[in-house]
Amino acid sequence: MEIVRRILRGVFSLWLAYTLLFFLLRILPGDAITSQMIDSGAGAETIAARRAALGLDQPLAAQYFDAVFRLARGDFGVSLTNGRAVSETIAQNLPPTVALALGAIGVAIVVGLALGVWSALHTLGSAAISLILSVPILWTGTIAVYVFSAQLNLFPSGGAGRLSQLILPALVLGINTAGAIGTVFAAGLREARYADYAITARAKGLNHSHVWVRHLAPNTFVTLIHVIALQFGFLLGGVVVTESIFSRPGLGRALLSGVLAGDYPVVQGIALVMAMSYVVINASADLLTAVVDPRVRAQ
Amino acid sequence: MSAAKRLFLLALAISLIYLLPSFAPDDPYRAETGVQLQPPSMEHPFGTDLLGRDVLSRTMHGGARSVRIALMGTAIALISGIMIGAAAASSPRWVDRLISPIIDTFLALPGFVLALVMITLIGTGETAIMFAVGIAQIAPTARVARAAVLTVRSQGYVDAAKQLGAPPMWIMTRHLLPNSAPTLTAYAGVVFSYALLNGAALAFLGLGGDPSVPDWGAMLYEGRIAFRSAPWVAFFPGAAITAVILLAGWVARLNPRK
Repeated sequence: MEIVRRILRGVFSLWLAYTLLFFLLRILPGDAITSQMIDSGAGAETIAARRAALGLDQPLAAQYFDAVFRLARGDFGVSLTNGRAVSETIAQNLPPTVALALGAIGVAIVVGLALGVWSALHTLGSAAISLILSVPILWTGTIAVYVFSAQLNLFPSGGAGRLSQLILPALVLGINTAGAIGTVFAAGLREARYADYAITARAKGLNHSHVWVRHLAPNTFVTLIHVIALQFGFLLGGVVVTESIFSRPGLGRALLSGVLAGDYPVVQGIALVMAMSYVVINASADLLTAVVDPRVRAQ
Repeated sequence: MSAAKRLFLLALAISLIYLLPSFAPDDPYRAETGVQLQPPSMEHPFGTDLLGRDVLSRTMHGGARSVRIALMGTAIALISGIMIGAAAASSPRWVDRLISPIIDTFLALPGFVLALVMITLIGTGETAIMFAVGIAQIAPTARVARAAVLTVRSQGYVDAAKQLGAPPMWIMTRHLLPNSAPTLTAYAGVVFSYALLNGAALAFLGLGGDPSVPDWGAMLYEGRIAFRSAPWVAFFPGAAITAVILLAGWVARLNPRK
């Protein structure tokens, strides 16, 4: 029952997000077509004909219901600038972005957990977390390109497809995302450290690393799973900047060129895909906590 | 360190950022031919950029714009977010049932992506970035404010005030908001950090309008073009952003009640 309710709420959120995006983006007086065709010197009639071909002369409500009906069949509409289906643009740009996101979240979890332990043991670790939370990714990214690509020539500075092209962007984006995970893990460890069960475990004479690994860490897992899922949204935002710095093809750069061109079907389609993955990941995180923690299951 | 001292330091830092431009050794717009992309020297302590402009002067001028954008964005997010969150938490159940799903919907869009959508809507430039980064933070702020007010609302003294017949506005301004203040000031630091980072990122992506206006994010964009040969162009504005966010985070962690 809980699962069904969670899914329904996610679908409702996505529908609302789509509707808001649809109407917000159409308040605009100008769009890509008009500006593009005025630039190329087309007359008013040509512009009107092109708009009619794309259905932009219909009343808003008709356009909306048409769009929702198409969306249900996986049709995201047509780009205003190159006439290609938005779903095609998304499908083409999805794999490199998924690779980057997975690589980065992996790095974020490993680095975040290490930072959390360090911070729980030593104030220097907390300082490292503060620094990571404060450094802009545009800065660490450019420095990484300079040091590792331009100077040391260890990794290629751009492109996607090969593992060597993934390592640097995944590290930069992952470390940037690790700060929040580290903060939460450290707070959980500090709190669990003086809990009754931890004191009992130590009093029984269990060695310290055993207490940390078997008793303290597992008690932070539920919050940790939620934070990782929430950080995924932050990571999706970082994807746009990371892909630009490393000249990687992907959804972030496709979104950016859509924004620059005022191509709203593209902006709307990619924003919706990002919202969808965020909602799905957070719903799965809720379900996963029930698997991991018997206390949640009992509720 | 006491709260008063930290707030004093924050005020000092902000006024310093606004005073810095008048101490800049050089005109940040003056492009000098023949000295493009020079490494740091006595004459140009931070070096020069692609057009031969003094990077130190541009960094000193750029702070005013970047911090102004972040402060305005923070104000937009806090005022709207707290109003919406407090309204949801203190109104009848059905109002909350109406507002909360809308907040959740906006939370599903990553903040930076929402800011990009806003830029598509309102265009590029300084004012556009202010609104984009501000609006992007409204939903998370509303959620935090709602949770904070709900916690305070369940306290005994709020019930007591209600029983005594205090009007809702009195309860809001005398009890709910002041007692949510510690959570909200700590969160204001987070909002400010995101506003500065997102504002710089938007300028970095070329959405900040006129690129000749000194701005830390835009300088990073220009620095990236020349980064292979002249890393100092991007290094100093990036370090400045980091320093301001570290300071803001440290001030925001203070508890105004202590």
